[in-house]
Amino acid sequence: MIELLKLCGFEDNELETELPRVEKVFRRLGITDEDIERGKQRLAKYYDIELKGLRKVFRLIMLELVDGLLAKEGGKKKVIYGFMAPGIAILGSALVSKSKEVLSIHQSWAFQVVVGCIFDKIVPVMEAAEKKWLKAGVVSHCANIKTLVGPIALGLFPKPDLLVTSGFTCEASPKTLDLLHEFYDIPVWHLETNLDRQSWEYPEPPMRIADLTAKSMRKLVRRIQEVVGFEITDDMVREVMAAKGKLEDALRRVRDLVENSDPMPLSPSHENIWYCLDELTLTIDGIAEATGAIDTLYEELKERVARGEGVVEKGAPRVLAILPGGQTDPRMDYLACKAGIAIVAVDFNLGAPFKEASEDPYVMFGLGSQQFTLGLTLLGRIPLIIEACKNLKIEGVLDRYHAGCRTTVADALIIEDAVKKELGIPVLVLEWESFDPRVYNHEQFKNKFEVFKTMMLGRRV
Amino acid sequence: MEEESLTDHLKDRPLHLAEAKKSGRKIVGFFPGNFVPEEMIYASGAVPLCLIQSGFRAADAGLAVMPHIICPFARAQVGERLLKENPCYNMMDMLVAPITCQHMKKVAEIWEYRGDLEIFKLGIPQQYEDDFEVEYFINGLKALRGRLEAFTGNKITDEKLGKAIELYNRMRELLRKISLMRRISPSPLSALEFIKLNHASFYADPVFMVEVLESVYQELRDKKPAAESIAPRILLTGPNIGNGDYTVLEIVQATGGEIVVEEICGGIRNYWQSIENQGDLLQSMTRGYLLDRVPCAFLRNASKKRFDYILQLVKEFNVSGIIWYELLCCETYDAESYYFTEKMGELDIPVLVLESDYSTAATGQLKTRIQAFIEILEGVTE
Amino acid sequence: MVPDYFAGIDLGSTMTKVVILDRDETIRVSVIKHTGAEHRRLANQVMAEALAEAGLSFEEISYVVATGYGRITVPFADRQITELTCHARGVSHYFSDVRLAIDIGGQDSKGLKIKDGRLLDFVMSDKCAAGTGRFLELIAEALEIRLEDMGNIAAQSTNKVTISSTCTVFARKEVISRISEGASLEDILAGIHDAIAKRVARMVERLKVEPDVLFTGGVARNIGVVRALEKNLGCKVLVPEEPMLSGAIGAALLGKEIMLKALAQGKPIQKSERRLEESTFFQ
Repeated sequence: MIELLKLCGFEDNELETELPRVEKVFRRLGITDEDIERGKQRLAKYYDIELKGLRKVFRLIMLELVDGLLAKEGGKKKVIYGFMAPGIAILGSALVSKSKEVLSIHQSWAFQVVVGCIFDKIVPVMEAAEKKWLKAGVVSHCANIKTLVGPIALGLFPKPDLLVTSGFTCEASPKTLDLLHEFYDIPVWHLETNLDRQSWEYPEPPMRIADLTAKSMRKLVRRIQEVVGFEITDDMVREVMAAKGKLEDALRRVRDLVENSDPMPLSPSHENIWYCLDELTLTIDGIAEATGAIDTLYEELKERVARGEGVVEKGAPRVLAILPGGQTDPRMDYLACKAGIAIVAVDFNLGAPFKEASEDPYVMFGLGSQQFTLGLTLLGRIPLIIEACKNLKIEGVLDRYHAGCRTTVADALIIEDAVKKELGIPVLVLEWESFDPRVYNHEQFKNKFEVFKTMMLGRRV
Repeated sequence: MEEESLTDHLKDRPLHLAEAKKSGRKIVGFFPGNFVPEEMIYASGAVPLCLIQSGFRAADAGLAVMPHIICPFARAQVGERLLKENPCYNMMDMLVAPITCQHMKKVAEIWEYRGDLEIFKLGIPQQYEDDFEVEYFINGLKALRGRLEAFTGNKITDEKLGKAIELYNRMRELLRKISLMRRISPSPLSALEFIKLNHASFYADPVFMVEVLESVYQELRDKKPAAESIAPRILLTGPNIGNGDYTVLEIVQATGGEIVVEEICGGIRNYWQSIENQGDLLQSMTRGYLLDRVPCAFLRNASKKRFDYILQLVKEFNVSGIIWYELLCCETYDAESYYFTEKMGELDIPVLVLESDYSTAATGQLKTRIQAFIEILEGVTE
Repeated sequence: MVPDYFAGIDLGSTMTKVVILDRDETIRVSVIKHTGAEHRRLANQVMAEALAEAGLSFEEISYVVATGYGRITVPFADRQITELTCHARGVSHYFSDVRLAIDIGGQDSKGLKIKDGRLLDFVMSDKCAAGTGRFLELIAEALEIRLEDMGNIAAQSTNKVTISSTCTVFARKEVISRISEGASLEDILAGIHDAIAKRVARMVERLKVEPDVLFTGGVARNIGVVRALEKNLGCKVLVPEEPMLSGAIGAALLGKEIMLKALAQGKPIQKSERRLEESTFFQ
């Protein structure tokens, strides 16, 4: 156990306080000694765990999970969960920076990384959710939602004082919260935007939608204030956004390095770790700590690049992946590397620029969230992807879509069509479920990757 | 008799549309869900056309563009534009797309991306308890009015809008009156007949449709009441019944069940609300089309509201069992069906959940389930 | 005419079952035959066989109820009732306290919520092979063993292999992979039984699992699946002596009920103009 914690970046001097807490949480999650051994192996296999910066990130993720599950025991008077709510990480950080009595977690991300990616024990959680209403099978419900409902059904998460989601990316999450309220008496809240961006409202994001989003966020803030008993000022939010901006810059530096180095120095399985990191609810100091970890990582990667070290061979075909890889299972990205494919970028990191500005941090958020790849309609998303392929000299697109996610599913074939037509490069369309390890089909994916690689190499003259 | 002339009218509808186009009128289609105020389209001088065509072939054709995880109704809309065989879909000049669920939102986006049709998206606020949320919808209506005026070249005056509201109010009132006649047993018309009438109201010329409904209503009132019926009385609910999606209705009828009332969001014209024809007409329409309605399942905090509403219908229409008819892949209604069946189970009201992807191969299985459900309701040895 | 004999015919997609009851509800004769591709034409033949074995003529049967997949095309039936209702009635006949009946047949699986012999609610899985007898058939084929031996082989398992594929085709592939990796036959079969039991258990959990829980259908003869079901449901699972006949028995019992009720009410008995002949139309 100590070895595992060290692998996850825990310092010697904090083991005394943290070890019993971690043990308590692992007991609750049913993580055995056997699981811990497996966890160590998986960390070593799928992640570049020798990188100090990365270990620091795992530490933050582990701590968030432990803090979350032990919230009530840890003397937290108020617990706020977010789930699929862009912006809640910002509000949450403002909350926890202000008061030690409040815990805010953007739920499930840390849970997925630790229980799924590290220990491969997410399946029982899936099954618990499937015993409720979240079906599996050919037509399934979103497995991301299963990682929220499952633990609640199993009684793993302490009951929050408020559970917040948004209608930014789907109706499934708000519907789920509606039912969680009815069945488990959890107070819920929905943050809204509207997805009615017109064809003539490009390239700048329309202010009317940003305005709605901002008002909806202020409505949420009023509700949160009721729960926690203190104010969240605009300045607090600005402070968090500034700190997060630095973290995002640090991550951008790392991504730039990965995109522009040959051989590719870091496996794409880490992308998922960065998403998780970006959504952790850290205090201002915590965000600075995270930024420091990424800066450390950046220096370590630079050394790798200088030594010509990579996770795929030099000259491996460059691929843009649509949507992140396995949130509970790093196998697909690992397989891609083994197959000699360099997934240098993920479209999830793409965002269109905008000129419009506002003093109001919530309006700024409302503008920015419309320019993120999933916030754009096809009229915006397709050119963004095509542009990225050109800039990054992409030779093939891995068009993977989650079978349970109605939002992302519908774009898949349009993306395939557009990329083939406008760039003439191969597109591998892959139906899977990035939150459900049972869907991973090693033979099938391996074969497809091999064919995909051959097609890309074949086009080089 | 009136039904025959309605049938002819519907058959000739593509001709009417073609003639209208030739005379300079625009054909403005809109997606179902009862969010788009048809009156506004009518008042602009355009021909309103609700797009509710269902069918396996079109849904299958849509697979070329959207994977099978998108609901068959949405895929059928895409498929109809791909197949180019449906004259009504072909003749559309403009589409008004209410932004409702993820599936239909994507259909609008895909048509928009293809760029061969004028599209206006009407944003539906997912919650509407606060003023700014309601205002968002009203602003959408204002923008829609402006867009329609620019597109048709006709001003939508309050007077024209008022007349349109009056006409559609009468249509809704007649549908309501006819529907309410089914509270007595046996009901004077079958669910299939009612739904076909309701669907016709989306295709037919509204003035003609009102005439048809007047005479149908009269006919039904004059009809001699039939003998007592022991058929179990059933409520039908679900996300969508498209034009042609009648298999379940037919099987229920053939098996001896009687559907006496429906609570369906998409594809059925909502007839419970009248639009107040005075004062700020946009406010009136906002009330009638959004605020006063029982919410569709994809809206926030809808589950309990819909449950309570349906329970009310169960009591008023003396219903003994509920059929929940879902389109495969509809994640919001599917999640809600769990809540619904649990709660109805607590009240000992039997619920049958059925799914469809429009495929005809599933008919035998549907028959077994529906028959078993009716056997439960009527006690098979009666 | 005093009603003496009642017949139930359960035309399943894989097997056709006929049961003739006498008036005190004991089984006079029962016949189980493969339905085959020509099932609609052979209902009368199976019936004729049953009559011959019982030493009865068709006219002596007071009421015939047809059930099962092919129930609609049995021309000599007085009534057709779904297999769901018939199974509920049939299992209650022997187990009056049954609350949940699970039936896994050749091509479908069902869960029935029952109280006092009446069907209250049901779930059905009939869209794909997983969770049905067909699943086991395909695996038996792949492993080159007999279907009827699966249960006994699996009983020797000490280290069950987890089969994670929910689809039959992929499960088959997984099984073959495991074999080539050196897993033992009994451990794989234990995993297969667990997979089918898990799937069915998940389906029926919606109906609330309460004892007594009954298990019927052809697959109920596989002791491995019975044990796996018990484990996955967390309670004891009972299997009738003849697990394939509950549909036909229930059909015959319902026929008796219908007939007696009609007689008591002086209502005309719903008896079609029936002769024991081949079905001449297909639906």
